[in-house]
Amino acid sequence: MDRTRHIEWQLARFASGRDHAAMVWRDETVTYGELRERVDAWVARLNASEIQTGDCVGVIGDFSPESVACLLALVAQRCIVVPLAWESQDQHEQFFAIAELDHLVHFDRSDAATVVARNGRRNHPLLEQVRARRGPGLILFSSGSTGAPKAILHEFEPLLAKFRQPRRAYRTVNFLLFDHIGGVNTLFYTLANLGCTVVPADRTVARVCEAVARHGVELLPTSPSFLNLMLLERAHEHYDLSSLSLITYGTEVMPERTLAMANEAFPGARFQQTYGLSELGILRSKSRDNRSLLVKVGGEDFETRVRNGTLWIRAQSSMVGYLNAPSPFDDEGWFDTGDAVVQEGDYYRILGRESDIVNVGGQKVYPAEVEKVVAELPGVIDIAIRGEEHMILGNVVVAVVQMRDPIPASEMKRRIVAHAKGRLQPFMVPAKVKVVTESPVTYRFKKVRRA
Amino acid sequence: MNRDTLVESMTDLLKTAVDAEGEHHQIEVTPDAPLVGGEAILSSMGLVSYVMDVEASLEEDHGLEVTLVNENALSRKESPFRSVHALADYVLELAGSAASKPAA
Repeated sequence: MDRTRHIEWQLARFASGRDHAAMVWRDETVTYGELRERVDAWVARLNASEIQTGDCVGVIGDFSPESVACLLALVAQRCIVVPLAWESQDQHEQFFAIAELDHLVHFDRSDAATVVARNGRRNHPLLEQVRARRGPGLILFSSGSTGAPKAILHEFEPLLAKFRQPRRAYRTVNFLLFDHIGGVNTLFYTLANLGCTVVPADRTVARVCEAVARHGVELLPTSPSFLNLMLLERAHEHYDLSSLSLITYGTEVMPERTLAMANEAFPGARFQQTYGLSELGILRSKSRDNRSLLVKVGGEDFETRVRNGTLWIRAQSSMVGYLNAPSPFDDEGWFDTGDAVVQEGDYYRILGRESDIVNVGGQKVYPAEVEKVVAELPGVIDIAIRGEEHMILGNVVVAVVQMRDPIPASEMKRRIVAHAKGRLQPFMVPAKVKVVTESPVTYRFKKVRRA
Repeated sequence: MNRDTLVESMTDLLKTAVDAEGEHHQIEVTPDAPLVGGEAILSSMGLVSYVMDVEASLEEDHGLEVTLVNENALSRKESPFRSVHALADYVLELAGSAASKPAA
């Protein structure tokens, strides 16, 4: 195996595709030659700054020519990168503290960057371990089972190794955000194959479809909920989306009907299920066919098996560990994904999460977080949050509220929505409210979260 | 169910939903305002929540239990979710077919 670091291989590859389009951002095309110049400029800027090899550096932004160049320069400088999306800004201070951030690069919407020192280092043993190996690192955040965000520390090189194998170059909308393992994976796949990343103005159906139509996008990596929203808005009739040759979907369970309807709406596209976790990286996957929910997952660097009905994975690209939680791996390095699966020959069908987490459009809602906020309202005796199946979003949040003096459910919903503003993110706010007179807990004092 | 009062109550619910999102200033909420597409006055999440409000009010006020987001609605050439007027017509259509079924 070639021992050059991935980033050196990658930057050399840019030279061979100098005139290819690397990104389309705000309808402007940036070539690989220009991207390389921007990376070099960032390397020079880093050298002139206080940022050093092994430093933990937060990067706030979305995919853009400058943020991608900065990210690549930080990898080249063997820093530990913490990509963060604007959308999670309420949690940023908490993330900075957990990641012991040394510096922060903040991009604004015009793609200009401000670099500030944070001096948060406290020599966490896992961060020191990555520094000792002198490789670049990556920290991603995901919500833990208690709702507290977990910091996932990776060595960057093992995540990138698989991209040396040449694959097809696509013009791709980078639908997933900057701080998501899937977004990072799509970016590096595209760069490695000299494909083109098209960045939509935002992630609404209208803007994403405009980007596809205007720039002849071939690959749309998306989620079942987004496909549902596209179908709801009949986007395929309003925009020319005929350039799409591959639509991939992941992050949540695909409803059979959605897949069937999407196949009707996009007869020229192949449909492919993806599978990955922040802790392990993205696996190679293969759907049995366009209309099948059966998927083969794995690749050279991943082993899979089913234990007690859930999928366990052992990966070469496994994280180093959580910065703020115990190791989830067993003695042999296996990881319990918590996803219930059924095995059919070489294929798996993913049934969903084992736990009570409500997955609304691919975003996790922890019942306890919502229950806490609703319980603050006057007159509430008890409250249980559960999911209810929904055709568009997979699930919606339903609040079952026990009131001292019962009021109409519509009035209670108005109060909850008003109170939740600024306290809960929009997708966490109950879409449906039921007012009951009996307590929604069992004799074991467990919430009844099943319908 | 009278169409005019239905449109009126659904428009009131829409006003509440638009206000709750709070990002739109001085948007005129009318029965013709677009609910889907680039000009939509609600976010996608807001639309889902609004449709559930309509379902809840149909149950509370008219004893009508319907699921408005269904395969039939999604596969129509003209989306019933494009405006309050279109959605009201769809509700009446569903109410009509519910009424014509024999009581269980």
